[in-house]
Amino acid sequence: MDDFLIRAVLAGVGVAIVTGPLGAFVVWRRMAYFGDTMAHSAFLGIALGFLLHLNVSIGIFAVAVAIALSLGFAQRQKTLATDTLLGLFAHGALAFGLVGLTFLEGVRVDLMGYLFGDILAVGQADLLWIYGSGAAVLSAVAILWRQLLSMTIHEELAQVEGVPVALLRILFMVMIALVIVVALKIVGILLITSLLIIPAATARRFARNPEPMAALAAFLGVLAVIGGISGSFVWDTPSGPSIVVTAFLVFVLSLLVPNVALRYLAGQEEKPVSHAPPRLPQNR
Amino acid sequence: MSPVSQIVVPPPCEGHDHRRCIDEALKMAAKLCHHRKARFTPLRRRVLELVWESHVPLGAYAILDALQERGKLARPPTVYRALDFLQKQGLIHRIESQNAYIGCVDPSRPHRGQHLICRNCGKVTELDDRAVEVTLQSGAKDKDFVLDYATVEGEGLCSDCREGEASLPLAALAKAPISVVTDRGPEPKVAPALVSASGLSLARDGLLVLDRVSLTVHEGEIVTIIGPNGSGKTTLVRALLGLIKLDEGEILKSKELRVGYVPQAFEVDPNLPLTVGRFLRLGGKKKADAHAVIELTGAGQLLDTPIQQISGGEIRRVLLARALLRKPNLLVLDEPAQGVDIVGQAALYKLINAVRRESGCAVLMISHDLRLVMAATDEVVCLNHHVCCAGHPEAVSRHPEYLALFGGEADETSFAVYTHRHDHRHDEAGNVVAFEGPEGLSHG
Repeated sequence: MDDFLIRAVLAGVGVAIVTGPLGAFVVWRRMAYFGDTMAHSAFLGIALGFLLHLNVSIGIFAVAVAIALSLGFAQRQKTLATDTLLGLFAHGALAFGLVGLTFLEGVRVDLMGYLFGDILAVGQADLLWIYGSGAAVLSAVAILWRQLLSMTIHEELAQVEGVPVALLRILFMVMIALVIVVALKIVGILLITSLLIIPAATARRFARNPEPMAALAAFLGVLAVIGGISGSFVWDTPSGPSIVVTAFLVFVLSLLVPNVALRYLAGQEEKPVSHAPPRLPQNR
Repeated sequence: MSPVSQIVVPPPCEGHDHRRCIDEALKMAAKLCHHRKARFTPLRRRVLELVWESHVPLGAYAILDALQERGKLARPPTVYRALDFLQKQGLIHRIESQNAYIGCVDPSRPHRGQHLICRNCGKVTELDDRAVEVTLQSGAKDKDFVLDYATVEGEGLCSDCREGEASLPLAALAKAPISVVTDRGPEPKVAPALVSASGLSLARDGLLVLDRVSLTVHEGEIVTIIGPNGSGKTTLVRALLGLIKLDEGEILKSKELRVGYVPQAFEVDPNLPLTVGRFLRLGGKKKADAHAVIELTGAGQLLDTPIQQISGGEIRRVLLARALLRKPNLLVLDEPAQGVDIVGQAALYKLINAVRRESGCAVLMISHDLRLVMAATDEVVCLNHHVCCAGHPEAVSRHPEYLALFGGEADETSFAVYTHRHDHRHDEAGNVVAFEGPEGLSHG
């Protein structure tokens, strides 16, 4: 097996392990398009990185965090809805980035590489980046799990119980920004959100509690990466999109598992089918 | 010593409205500064207000802390500059022995500080006696000494503290630099206050949502806030919990305060798989504790059910269990009966009473079901942006402002506190089961 393939699989697996649990939170907190907006802003980060002679990754990270923070700030006004704001910021940042890139003389940016990812070009340094930041994000999620979960279930209840909600919200955005920076290499700007959303969405039906869902999402993500890269190797298809196609196919296949089997998996006794409603509001 | 004109700062008389004292002092200061063409900036005004709000001398850093608590950025030099200004204008005196400041009762006439300091409660009384000043001046002159600056500070016990009884709580208060609790003078013997809010004001879009609302919850007490829709009930509770910022006002929380909160709206995103048991465990308590609470609230057979699938009444019970798992001494319930049918409501209020009996925690709740409130509460606060009336349910229900607010609905309470009872209940499958015991035999 070729070296670049091994590196690609390692990189993809590293990213998928992180996007699983983090993606679960994105799904629970209904932030799918939030992640998308941050990803779209990456072009602005690339342009800024070149302009200021910074590392491109640092540029992307900084812009993503800035966009997330200003979104949080913009949400305080009440005349524009969040989805409108997201569209505004996403495409504003994307367009600014694309225009900005044309002003950079002598720099040719591989647009397609950024849009769809270039997993086969992953190098040693990229792997270090992926596993370093992945370990940081995963351990932060693990340490803050209870607090993050409490905040996701009911923000005010969590706040009354002493969870530093405002701080955690910012931290969560920073983590997403970090994951976007590394996942960019794998699936590209346009498909990043899919790595966060699809495995988590697939895992939802099979879980009765948050922790199994997060773990299953990570596992399904790894499955999609391995399947996608193998597929692209065999049929000579682009790797990033192939990973997303695999993830999507796994989701569709998961729908074929009947509810009865799910209940069996959850360890519940299969009750005889009754025509009475399963659980009515009861007065006691 | 000759009879002295003694002015107490502030007069600790019954029903003394310290807020008015403060306002008058501030007005006086503004007038004096205007007259003297001195710049009485908002910050200087605020500092003076803080000094006046406290019954004990305030140090510069206590003032700095208080300013920062209200979200104002102030650095030590700013505060010291303001204090220096106020002192030069004769608006405050410096208590040298404590390196702290106290408001001057008569700033219009320049005079040296002469203070009697109680060593127990820390309260300072200004002894504004010209004779003392004259004696000092003439004594210095005899010794051919030019006297620039002199303060007189006497230490001893004030009349309140000599009575012994009241000494303990006051001594404790002396350690807290800012306090409004003593405003009403020595209180009758009640349980210590868990939360005490005073003068809470909040405006939204130019409308006053809360207008100088004051509220105190003592240990073990059930306080219910009632009021029409949009009267600021939830806003008040959210402010007390620290969930929203206020424009004005002060909230004092006991150090032992531990809040269990049952929010009004509770819906878990269907994307989030969560069983009732896992939700309860998120509170982070040992299983043994959890068991008793779950028994009490009757959330037991729900543990394996996804939280999205249980009914409104069951949600309330689960939330109550979660709140109780924190072993609170104050339970805050926002419309606990919302979305629960009338039978469930009666059961729920009964449960709240049982919880209070078993755990001894205080309860602060919002409700607009008057009949149920009347039966199961120690104190009712009737809110319509301002506090219309407050007190024992019986007294409130006869108050003219209450009757004006609730009109016809209130009439119902005059003839019957709600006593709907059933001779049966429903088991888990919805079957009718007779009640054990003599309870609830009144109607069928």
